[in-house]
Amino acid sequence: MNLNNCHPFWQSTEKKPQPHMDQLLKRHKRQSAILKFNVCFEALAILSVCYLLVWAYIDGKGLLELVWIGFVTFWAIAIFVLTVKSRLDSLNQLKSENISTSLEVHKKLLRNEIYRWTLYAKGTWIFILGFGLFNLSICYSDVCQINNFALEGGLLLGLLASIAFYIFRNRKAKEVLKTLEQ
Amino acid sequence: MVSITKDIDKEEVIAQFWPQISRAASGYESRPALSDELAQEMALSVWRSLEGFNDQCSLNTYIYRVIHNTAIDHIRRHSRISEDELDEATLCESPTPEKSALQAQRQHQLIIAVNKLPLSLRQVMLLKLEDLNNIEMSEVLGISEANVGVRLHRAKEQLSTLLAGMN
Repeated sequence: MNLNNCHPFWQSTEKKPQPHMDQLLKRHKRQSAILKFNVCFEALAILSVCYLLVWAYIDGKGLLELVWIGFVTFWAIAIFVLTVKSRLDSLNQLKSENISTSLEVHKKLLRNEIYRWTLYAKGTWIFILGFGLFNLSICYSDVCQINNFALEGGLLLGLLASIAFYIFRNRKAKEVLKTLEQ
Repeated sequence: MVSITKDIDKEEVIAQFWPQISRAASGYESRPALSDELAQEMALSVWRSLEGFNDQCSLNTYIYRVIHNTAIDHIRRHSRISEDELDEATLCESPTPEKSALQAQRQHQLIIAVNKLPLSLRQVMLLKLEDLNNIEMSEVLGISEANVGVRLHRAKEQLSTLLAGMN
């Protein structure tokens, strides 16, 4: 095949049916709505955790439980704020006209994505550490129950699996960034 | 300033460039379902960016730039995993009449070989296949003409090797 003159051959490939633009635009709007819904849902989850902390304090829970709920609340708020900040930056980039014409915007989006995957992985490790410390202190101060061990073991496995997923996605995003930078 | 704001004008531009859009999509994405999705994303990006078009370059260059950046965005979001298996599946599809089957088979091979090129070489090769000259390619990709020349030479070499390996 002569690659210098094969453009007519390339251009004669089977043509796909043209999409309906109105349907595409509707789908795009729907996706934006889902994204906003997710942010609202996460904000509600944060509010619920805060409410739980206040309620635990009013209810006169023990110091250990208060420290644990306080830790989870602080952890959730920190992750949420950092994620939303990064997401907003990405959304601004996505809204800008440059998204269609500049490679730098794509690199910026990838860096934001890598930052979020790293944040989720590190955040989950911190949660596991806090969770472990909480359980250890319970074991020292109270009676350890086998039933709880099974439940907590399951949770721990789930968290470790999610870390593996975050690391996998992080690595993939880094590979794409490396390709773009080349 | 000649930005295109009316929906009817945008529809016209999309219809005019749809063959180029769908070919570029298959050049960047060999998985049929994702290729269709990419083509739609490209059409949507062109639609949305037409309002931002002004005299900074020709409409042709501007649209190719949008198309190719949308492809990069697609690559960013759909990191490619075990494509080789899918490539083999695509290769087995062939229409019945012998001559057109051979032509379709060779076109499939070309698409798959282009898909296997590294991104930087794939971009120039796809633009070359759309018959753009080196100046237009450098405007679309934002790189120097000399760089386009080097990339194109490498792309042709690699593509020849890939196609030879398929025959």
